[in-house]
Amino acid sequence: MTTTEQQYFALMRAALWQQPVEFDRAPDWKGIMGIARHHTTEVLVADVASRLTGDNAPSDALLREMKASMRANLINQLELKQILTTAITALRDKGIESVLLKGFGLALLYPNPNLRQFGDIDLFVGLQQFHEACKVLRTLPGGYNWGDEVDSGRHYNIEFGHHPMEVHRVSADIENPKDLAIYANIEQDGLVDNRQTIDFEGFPLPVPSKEFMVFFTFLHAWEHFLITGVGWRQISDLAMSLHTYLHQPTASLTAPFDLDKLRSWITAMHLMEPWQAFGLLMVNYIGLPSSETPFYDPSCTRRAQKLYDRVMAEGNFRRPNRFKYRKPKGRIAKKTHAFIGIFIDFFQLAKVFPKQAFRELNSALKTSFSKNFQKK
Amino acid sequence: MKTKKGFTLRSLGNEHLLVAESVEMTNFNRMISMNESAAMLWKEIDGKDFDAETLTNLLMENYDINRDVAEHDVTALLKSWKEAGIIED
Repeated sequence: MTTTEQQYFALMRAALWQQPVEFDRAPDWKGIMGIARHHTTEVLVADVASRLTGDNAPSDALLREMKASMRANLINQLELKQILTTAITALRDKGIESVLLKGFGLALLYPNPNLRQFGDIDLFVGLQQFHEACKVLRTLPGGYNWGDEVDSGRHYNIEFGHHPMEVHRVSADIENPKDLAIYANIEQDGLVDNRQTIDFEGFPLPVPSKEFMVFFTFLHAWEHFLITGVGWRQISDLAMSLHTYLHQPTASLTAPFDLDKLRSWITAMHLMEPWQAFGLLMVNYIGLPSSETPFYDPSCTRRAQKLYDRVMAEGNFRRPNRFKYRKPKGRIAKKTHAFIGIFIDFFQLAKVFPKQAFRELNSALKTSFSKNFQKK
Repeated sequence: MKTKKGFTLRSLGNEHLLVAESVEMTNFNRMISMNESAAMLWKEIDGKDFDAETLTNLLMENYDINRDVAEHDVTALLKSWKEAGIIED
């Protein structure tokens, strides 16, 4: 680990656990903020950095930048909050129950929720209420400018001013039919049967059950790792959710955290090895106590190191294009290109998680063949 | 006097910002930066009836200053809060 990386993690730990920060050497602010931006954690880091004094303090110019990014994030959150509460209230008025995924639901787990960055709203309504919910949200009064409406298999995209909202019929993209059936039961448990309501500055905010919150946060980080690149924001989210639910249960939680349920979900989705590798990263780099890291296995250091290298290189949404050339034209060329892509993904994933790589390869090939046959 | 509804005090780094919660009111001009002592006073009186005497006493309780200095500071603070439209009679 480089000195700059050490300094970045010192600042992250200070932000997450409200601890003082100490440096052995003068902070490399340019390098630190570069890493922070790469992982969408610049506001968390800026909060700690802007309170430093003396030789460790950032330059005045950098401080101004930090303040501007913190303020911009706050403005963005306030706008999203108004959209979110308006939408949930409108749905409730029509008898439609929704559940907030990620976003504010995760931000509220941080010591200062205003420091967690996010750019959209993910609202789960489920299959049965989906079309009615979209109808209600499309016609919502209030002078908002609804933008392009793009339908995807997983969710419906609505533009609320310049803020996107994703209305989810399902909460995760899972291609393998067996895994999808298992996940449907998990979703039913965490988003329907056991969803909870937490206080969001006076507004009753519907969020998943605490077990689902932890599981889904991990699954989301895993999806990022598989597809676009995972950053320390997603890993911090997981650490904060574990810390909140395992260490300091809030008054709104009536039952203790069900670790057996979490274990059964992780095992059923064949994700215990990735879970344990992410666990080591949370403990070793951002300071989550191992006592708050379920199924902690300190022996998986080599796999965790490989995961760490990938996380640092890729960051949040910043995985480099796997091809060094443009997507080809022509039906056969396109299919060959996609086929090669599947194997590149397989070899990349197999370096860190071989078992999961074979499962992903199997699903991707099945999906690819099935799509091709359907088109014919 | 009392504080106007719709404002919340938030802390970012070493800044204390009083922000308007509603979208229509929210832009950079509607963020009022407060120093440590002003933020402390706002937290104490937010949602309650108060007067200059209340603020003066709070300042004297929390900082090592005499009444003259506290009264002087409170007069200036109330003037700026009124101009910003964040308190009402």
